Formats: sequence, C-alpha cells, structure tokens
Amino acid sequence: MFTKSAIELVKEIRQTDSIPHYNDTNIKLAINEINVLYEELLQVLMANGNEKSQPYYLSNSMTYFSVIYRDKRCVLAYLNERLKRIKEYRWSSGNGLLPDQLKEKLSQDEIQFFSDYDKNLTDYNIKVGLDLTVDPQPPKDLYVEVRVIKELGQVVLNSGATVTLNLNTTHFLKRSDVSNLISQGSLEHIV
Amino acid sequence: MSYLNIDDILAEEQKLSCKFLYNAYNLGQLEEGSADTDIEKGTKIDLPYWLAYVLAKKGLVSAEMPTPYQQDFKDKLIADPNVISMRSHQYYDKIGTMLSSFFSDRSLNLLLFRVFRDRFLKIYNQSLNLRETDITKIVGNMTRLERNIFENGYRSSIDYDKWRNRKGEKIERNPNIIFPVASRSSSVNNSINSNNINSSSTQSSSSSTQSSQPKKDTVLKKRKRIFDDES
Repeated sequence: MFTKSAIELVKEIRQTDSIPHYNDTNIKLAINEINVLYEELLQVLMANGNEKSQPYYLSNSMTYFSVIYRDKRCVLAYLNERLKRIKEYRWSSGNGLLPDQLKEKLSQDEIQFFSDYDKNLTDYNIKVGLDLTVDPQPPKDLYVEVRVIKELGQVVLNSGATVTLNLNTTHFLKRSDVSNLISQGSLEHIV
Repeated sequence: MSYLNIDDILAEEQKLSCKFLYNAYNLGQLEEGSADTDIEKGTKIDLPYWLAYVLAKKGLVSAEMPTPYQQDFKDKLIADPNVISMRSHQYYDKIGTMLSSFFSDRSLNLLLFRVFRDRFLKIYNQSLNLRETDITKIVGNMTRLERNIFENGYRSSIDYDKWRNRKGEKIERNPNIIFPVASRSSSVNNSINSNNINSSSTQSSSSSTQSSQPKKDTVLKKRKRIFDDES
C-alpha cells in the first residue's frame, strides 16, 4: 500500500508529546518509495507521448504524483515537528546540554541543529545581556527558600557563593542562583 | 489547512469509497488482495481523501460520502450529540468541513456546527469543573479539536486555583528536563556547568584551595614536629 511508512511517521509523532526515537528506517522507506514511483512515473509519461492524457494512463500518473507529494509532505511534517520540539527543549531546559537519554533519540543532523541553535540563542543572550530562558514571569522576591531533595554536596552558585546542599536541609538563597536547580528537580521551592 | 500540520495530514487519511470510471493502468496495488496489475472500470476501492480528491477532480473516479457522514450516523448525532463517542472519528469536524465543500453539501456544514455547539457547552463545563477525577475516558471520546479545548480549559482552571492559593510564584520542577543522575559527583558538575561559565572559573579556584588545604596541614604538622624535637 502506498505511503504506509510515511504515514506511520506522522502517527508516531502524534502519539507522544515528547521527542520519539528518530525513525531512520521509515524515512528511508518513504524516500525509496518516492524514487521508485518517480522512475515509473517518468517511464509512463515518456512511453505514451500522445496517450498520456487518456484516462487509462492519466489515473496512473495522477495517483503516482499525489503519492510522491504525500510522502514528501509526511516526512517534512515529521522532521519539522521534531525540530519544533527540540527548540522547545532548549527553551524549557535553560541550558545547552543534551542528556544522553535524549541524544540517542536524535539523528546526527538534529544534534548538530541543537548545538547550532544553542549557540545562536546563547550569542543573542550575551549580546542582549539577559538570559531570556530564565524567569518568563517577573519574580516577586529576589530570595527564595528551598529544600534539598537530592544530595548535591558542595556547590558553587552563579553569584560565586559556595553552599553545602545536604539532603533535607533548607536554605534561603538568591532566586537566580537556584532556579535552574529547582527545575532540574534537585531542590524544592518552599512557599 | 497547513502543509506541515500533523493533524491536517492525519485528517486527510479518512477513507472514501471510490468507483473507478475508467480502466486504470498499473494501479492494481491499490486494491488489497488483487493480483491484477490494472484496475478495471467499475471497481470499488477505499481511497484516502487526499487521493480521492485529486482523482475525482479530474473525473476519473466517483467518490461516496464515508459512512460516519451518512444519514444513519447523522440521525444519531442529531438525537443527542453529547452521548456519541468520537473515539474512532478523531477528526470528525476537520475532515467533515473538507468533505462538505468537496461534495458541496451545505447541510453537513450546518450539522457539524450544531453538533459542535451542543458538545462544546458540556466540554467547556467539564474542563473547568472536573478536578481530581479520571479524565482519560472522557477525553478519549472527544475529537482532536474538542480535546484541545478541554485541555486548555483544564490547565487554566489549575492555574487559576494556584493563583488563588498564592502558589503562582512557586518555581516548579520542569518535567521536560531529563537529568542525568549517574553518579553524585557528575550530577554536581553538570549542574554547575549548566548554571554558567563564571561559576566554572570560581569552582576551579575553590577546588585548588581545597587541594592545597591538606598540604598546608601536613606542612604545619612537620614544623610542629621539628619544634618539638628542638625543645
């Protein structure tokens, strides 16, 4: 059946909100189908010069053309949606690090894209003089109280201060210093 | 309609029963379980909307309304829109509007509008009031469009509650971040790297002072011993 592998890609990415494994096999199958159909389409059009607009051949070439177009659309939509999610990850994680669990799900080009995107964003942030990924809403207080929920030991913070973050201790620290650690799940914000 | 929209692509997968009006060259693989290479005139095959659309525009096939848009299902919908499960018709409204312009059937458009209006009220209410209940079953019976509306309402009602309880300020753990916690030391290092570049320089200086600390101690001890010996 036509476009089977291509539509599987789209279904796969619809099923989850995170980034699924890069489906190399299905993309190759879809591209292969495009190439095979293109050759056949070309042959039909070349061989039947005068009769190609007859319904007998027209339905064939129309179908092949639509299938090629459809395959292309599915693969592009799949790749585009993945890039969108990779960008979202960069913004929500607030750093340019790719954890191994995520890295193995991306293709080589996507890893390259992530590091280039990260570089652009970091450059921009440095030029503007503000990290745009931090504090999308204005904070009420500069200091927050936090509880340590993952043993970290001695940690040097952004502002240069050194604190010992032992399990289950609470600290009163600068918001900008600890917001990253909270979103990573090492600390808990006490309100 | 957007070229790269996932939902648009999936909506167009809706199958339409099509009758071929002419013999067709080398399309046998469209017909499941047939060994012929050609399709004969008059063969009925289920084609997806995107293909049926192209072929029908050229007058090569004649398409029929799919079953969920025929009178039987419509009657059920009119009787009570709220009880119909859309589990197997995830894109009922989206593909429905496409079909209504494809078949130039204005009544279908009106029906879709009425059904959506009636269902919307219930979904809107549920999204704002169904807290701490299992919503998977309710959400499963909605179309994609309705589910988006429900999820938006659901989230905003949670945000509203947070704001009322003065929890809006709280910095939450971000579930998107998969954080490597292989060993203690590596996790500390990573968190420091992720903070920024400044800290790494201060860290290296602090670690150098740390490493020099025990050396100093031993030197002091040695001196002490020498003093002791002299005395």
